[in-house]
Amino acid sequence: MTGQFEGALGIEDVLAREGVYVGATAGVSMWPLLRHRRDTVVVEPCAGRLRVHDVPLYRRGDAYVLHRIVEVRPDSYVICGDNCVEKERGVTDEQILGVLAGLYRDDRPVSLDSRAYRAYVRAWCALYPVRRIWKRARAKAARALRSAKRRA
Amino acid sequence: MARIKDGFVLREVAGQAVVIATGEASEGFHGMVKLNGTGKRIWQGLTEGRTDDDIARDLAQEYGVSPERAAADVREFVEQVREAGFLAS
Repeated sequence: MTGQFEGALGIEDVLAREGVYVGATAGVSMWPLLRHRRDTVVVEPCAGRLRVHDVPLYRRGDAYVLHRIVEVRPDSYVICGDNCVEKERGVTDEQILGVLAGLYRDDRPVSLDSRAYRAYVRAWCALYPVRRIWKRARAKAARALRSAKRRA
Repeated sequence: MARIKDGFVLREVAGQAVVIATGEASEGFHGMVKLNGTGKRIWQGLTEGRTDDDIARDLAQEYGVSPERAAADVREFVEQVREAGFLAS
């Protein structure tokens, strides 16, 4: 036997059976860290409660979400994607399937213990207020532009 | 000659070789495929565009098995990969 094909299994099944899930991510909510269907994540089951800046994989209804913890509360987490400005509150440990343990940017492995990754996390999270102002201003400008076009 | 579809890539995670889908291929395949040492060698040979015979010859040398056994392993693997839909037509 040269391979084990597990395409029919869900992520929960793979994590429970193998102790690790590896796959490409879809969406732009964790950009610039993770690019749509291009970069690969390595997710492992959690060992206890998570910490600020950990990136859990959790269920939101039928969807799988991989976003960053920005605040740890006694009974839940506040979570926000690196490319998002709206925070999600009330994510519980019961919803969490695993936590990001490593990633590949294209074919290049990136360690979460590396200096470059840690610098990225610190800088990107510190820039959150600036990103929020920028995104809201941009959305407001887009709305104004659409409104002006309708009136013209 | 068998050829792997674009988007299916080999990753090494904690010493374990797994195949996953990226790009457009990941729209239709969300799982992962674990490979043992032989499977990894065959996969690498296929992605390098080598023939089944070439891959089997190297396998026989590397693992010290008969050419017939190596050829059978390659055939079995290629058939599994074909059934999983990873081969370009």
